[in-house]
Amino acid sequence: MASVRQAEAGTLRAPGFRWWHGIIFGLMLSYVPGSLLVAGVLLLPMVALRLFDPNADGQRLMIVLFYVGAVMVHPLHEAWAANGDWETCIAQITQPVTLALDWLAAGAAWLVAEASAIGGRLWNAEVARRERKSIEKRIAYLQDEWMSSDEGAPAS
Amino acid sequence: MADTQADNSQELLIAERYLISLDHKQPDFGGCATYGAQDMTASGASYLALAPFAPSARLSEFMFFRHESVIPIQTHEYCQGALWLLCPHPPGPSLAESLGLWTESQLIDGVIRPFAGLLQKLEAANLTCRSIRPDNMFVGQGLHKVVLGPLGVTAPAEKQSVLFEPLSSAVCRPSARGEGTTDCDIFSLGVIILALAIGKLPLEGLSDADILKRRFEIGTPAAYMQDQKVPVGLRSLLTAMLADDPHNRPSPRDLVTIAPSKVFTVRPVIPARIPLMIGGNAVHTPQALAWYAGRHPAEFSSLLQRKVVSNWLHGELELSVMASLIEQASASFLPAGGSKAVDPATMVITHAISVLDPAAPMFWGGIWFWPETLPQMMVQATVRPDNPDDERTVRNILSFMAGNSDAFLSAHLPQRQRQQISALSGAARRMALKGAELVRRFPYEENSFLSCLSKKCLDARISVPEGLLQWLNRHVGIEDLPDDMLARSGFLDEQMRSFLEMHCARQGIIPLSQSQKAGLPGWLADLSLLAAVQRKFDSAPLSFLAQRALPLLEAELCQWRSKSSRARRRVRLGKAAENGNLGVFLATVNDPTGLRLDQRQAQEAEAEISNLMRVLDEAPERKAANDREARNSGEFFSLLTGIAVAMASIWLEFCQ
Repeated sequence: MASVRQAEAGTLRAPGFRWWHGIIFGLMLSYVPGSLLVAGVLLLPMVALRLFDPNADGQRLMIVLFYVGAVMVHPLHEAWAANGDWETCIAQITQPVTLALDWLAAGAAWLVAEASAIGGRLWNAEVARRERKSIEKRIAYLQDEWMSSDEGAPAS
Repeated sequence: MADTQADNSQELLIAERYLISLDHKQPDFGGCATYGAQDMTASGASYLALAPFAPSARLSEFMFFRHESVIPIQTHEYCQGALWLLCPHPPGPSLAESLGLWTESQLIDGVIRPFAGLLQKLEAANLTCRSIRPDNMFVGQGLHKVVLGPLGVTAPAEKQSVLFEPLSSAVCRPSARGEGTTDCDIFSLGVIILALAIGKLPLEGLSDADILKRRFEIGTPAAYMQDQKVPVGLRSLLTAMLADDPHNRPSPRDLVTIAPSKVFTVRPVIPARIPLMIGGNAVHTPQALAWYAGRHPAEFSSLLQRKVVSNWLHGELELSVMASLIEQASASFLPAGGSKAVDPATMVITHAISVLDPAAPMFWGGIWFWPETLPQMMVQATVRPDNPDDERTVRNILSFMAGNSDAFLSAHLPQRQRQQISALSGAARRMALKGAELVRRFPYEENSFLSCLSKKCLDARISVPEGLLQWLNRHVGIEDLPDDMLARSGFLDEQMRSFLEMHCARQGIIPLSQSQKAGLPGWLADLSLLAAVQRKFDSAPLSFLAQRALPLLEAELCQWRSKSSRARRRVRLGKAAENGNLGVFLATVNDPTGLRLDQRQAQEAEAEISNLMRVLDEAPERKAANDREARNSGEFFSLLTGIAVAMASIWLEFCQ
């Protein structure tokens, strides 16, 4: 578990992290190591996403965070209720349903984001098509109205 | 307004009162074509209907002239544009049928006194009658009282024979004789008195040229009264009345107070003992020399140059003033460096002739004429040219004289000619036209009763513009006016155009200036002229004309770029053509404001099209932007869902 946490810490050492982040992290590690463990394990899908998806920017991570957060509410609540009891925390992170839900939440977040992007794109395409059609109609009307005299131009 | 009745019976109803039967042509009356006419009202009186072609320009004054010795013009009416004059029947046969032999007292009471009164009254009105001739004088059965036919129904003196004209107009062709003066009427009266006194016409059977020759040889009184049994009491009167010098003729006042055997004194003309030979003729008087000078101008000018004429005048006739004037005139044979357009030789002859005989008409360009009659000569040359060159000659003279009046005014012509020339050039200036158009317009300008001289409608005698419009409306079919001719020369010919323009100008409207006309096709200029005439004279609809112009104007609609506007105007054009209002009809096409608006809209439409094209071209770029936007909005949407899910999860965890 420690190696995982180190890896996590190493990965997260990116610009934007300040010294007080480290202090908070240290305090939490010393006071509620169980809860931190639960949170760390449950945040693993985000790390994976960050590692494997080059397109995953801050906004995408934020989305995933909310979904993963939704799953994390229950285990963290349990861990909080047990006062950070190590046993309970281990029990929480070894529950397959929780883990599966966690990963599924990340997947769902990604899926919803992509699907709505595609939906938006389709919608835009439809709008553009309609616009183009009306413009073409307008051009045809104008040409018929104003340009059709050219074949019978006045002789004078 | 007049209208026709049943056409097949050849009857015209004019003024809704007089029925003219065109079948019953009467012998010419006063020199006009004449028909019988009937008053349709209760009186049922019978009249003569006169159809004048080119009446005197002063016909309107003659129409109000009343005198017991003149048959009055009862009424005048326009029917289909043609002028009709209604007169009562003459009291009896004309003198041309039988002259009879009148005694001196019959002549004094029945002819001289009444006619002197007539001439006096005419003179007071500044008119001349110029129609004293046997076929225009009527005498009642068993009466010895002569009545003159209606005055002013022909051009002045046009129907007079040479016999009845004084030398100052007898040398001219009939159309060039002009109004003359009261002296001319006195002369004609003298001839008729002589004819009545001797019971036949003097110099009967001679040709006009022979009559003139004889009169120039021995003087008119001698030529007419030689070997005739003229009553002794009339001899001195007739000698005075027939005198060749107008100053020797008695005035109407002298004749009103005439008594039998009244003696008139005439300054005798002294002929030269040794005649001057010109063209093989012996000439005894300056007047005769002037006449022969016109017949043999080349010989005359050589005589002038050799000073034969001045020497003869001085030596034989003792006319030293005239001789020196002639000498002055011939001096200008040398090229004076003046206007190049004036042929000095002709100008010198004109001048010399006017010196020799101040009463003579003008001799210029090879013909004798009074300048005031040039428009009438133009009419005659257009309608019935004596020879093919006639029209060209008259046209040249008229256009030259109207344009270069200074050349004539500086040539010391007799006063009457000078006045007439300056009147002519004044009229030309008022018209503000040039060249052929001026010449064509002149006759109409001078005589508002003149019919349109176009070859096509000459027979219709149309002398009012609305009549011409109606005539055109009836004669606008494809058989009268083929398409190619319509496209080339328009609806009107030049005479019609001048006729209508003159009537427009008389009403104070100028339909189109020359510069505007230059840019338009002929038929369009014609159409706008016709529209102006129609509006001004409140004429009836001209739907046939409009229908004929419809395809041409529809072609003109191409100027409009908007298709729907073209279609709309085409419909309006069709309606206007049916209604026959040319003004509305033309305004539909001739609408500069509408056209400008249309062009602006067309430009706007072009701009819009190019704008829209650009929008279409930019579509791929916009697509990329749209994709990015779609991705963003998708993420935003999923973020919102995420927040909602998270909140739902918290709610489930803590509140459930």
